[in-house]
Amino acid sequence: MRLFRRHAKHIGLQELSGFVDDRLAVNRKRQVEAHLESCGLCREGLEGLQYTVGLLKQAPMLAPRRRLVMPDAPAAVVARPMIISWAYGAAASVAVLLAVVLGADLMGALPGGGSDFAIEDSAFSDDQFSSAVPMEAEMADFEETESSGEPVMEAQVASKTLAEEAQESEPPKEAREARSTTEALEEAQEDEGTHILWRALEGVLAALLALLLGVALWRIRRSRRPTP
Amino acid sequence: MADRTGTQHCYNCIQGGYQARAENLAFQMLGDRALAEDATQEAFLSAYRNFGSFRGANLRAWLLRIVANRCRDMLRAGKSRPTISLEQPSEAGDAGPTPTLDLPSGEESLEERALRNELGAVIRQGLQSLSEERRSTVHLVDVQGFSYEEAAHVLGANIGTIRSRLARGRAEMRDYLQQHQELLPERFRRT
Repeated sequence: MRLFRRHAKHIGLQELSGFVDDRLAVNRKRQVEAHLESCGLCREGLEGLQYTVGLLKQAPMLAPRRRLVMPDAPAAVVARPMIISWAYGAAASVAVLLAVVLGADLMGALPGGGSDFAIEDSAFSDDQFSSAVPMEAEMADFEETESSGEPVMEAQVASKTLAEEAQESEPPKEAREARSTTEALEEAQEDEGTHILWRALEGVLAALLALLLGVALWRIRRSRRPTP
Repeated sequence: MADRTGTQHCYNCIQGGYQARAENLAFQMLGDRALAEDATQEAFLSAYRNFGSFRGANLRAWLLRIVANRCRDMLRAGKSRPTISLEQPSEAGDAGPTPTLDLPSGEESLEERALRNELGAVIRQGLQSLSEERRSTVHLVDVQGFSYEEAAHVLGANIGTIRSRLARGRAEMRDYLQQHQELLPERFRRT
């Protein structure tokens, strides 16, 4: 009677089948395992199912006697959901970089003067600066020829003494002009070097962009090629 | 051809890849090789016409569901001649070559292949003794390796029904194999 009670509730067929496929919940699986340890009948049932499933899995399928192929099937296309690939990403990055460099170049915001416009402007201002001194001299000559009278003579004497003092404290005008010219020349050479470097960078970026776009287009054409 | 998500597929590749599975399921449901071939062909045509409705999730389950539906239609129309013996010679109208069997790998020896073919014949006979629903379920899950969910989708049933049919079908097959141990190759017999 006690033995009968112990095995009264055997594992159902569905649960044994689910146990074979490992489809039972963790708790229920533990209970089934515990029961199987003590119940020979359920264990035998399980072994029978495992043997059957093992044979079914080994059974070969029938091979088709003739192959069904549709001769006029539309041009097949390989399923390749690309479009966004590394080439696109790289091309976009290079394009953005190139746009930034070109924009900065046109605005003259690059170090070394950048654009041709910026260099021309600076050259123009240098000329203005170098011609500023003769213009002042001309103006002084003009005032000298136009004006007359003693107060003017006194003023001339006063300005002369001031000029003499200035001449004593400052280097001569020719030397100052020569020094500013050499400095300007050196500066211009330096700017030109930097300018060439930026131009080279722009060229390299443009070439890289063209290459990457070419790769991207080639990938599109390849992905749309029909399969044989 | 494109599915609902816009992904392109090669029709003949799909047909080549799934024809064997489809024909085997149709054979299990209809019990006749020629009818199974017809059902498979019609199902693939239907799949081709309605490929736009495929959502791109599980192609084999979607295709085999069309096959199963087509087989059920044929069963309802009374076209099938179920449970013919595979041991009998073909009828006059079914004079095709002897059915060949799939090989799992190229490394299988001839002896191994012959033994597995013998096993396959016994299994098919055993399956023919089951009801159509249990046979299809056992075939899909145990022979073709479908999950319960896939089998439920293919056969249009819920998981509980699949679990029940599978358990009962397996138990019937276990009894059949125990009664026909002498038909099995020696290495497949239960010790």
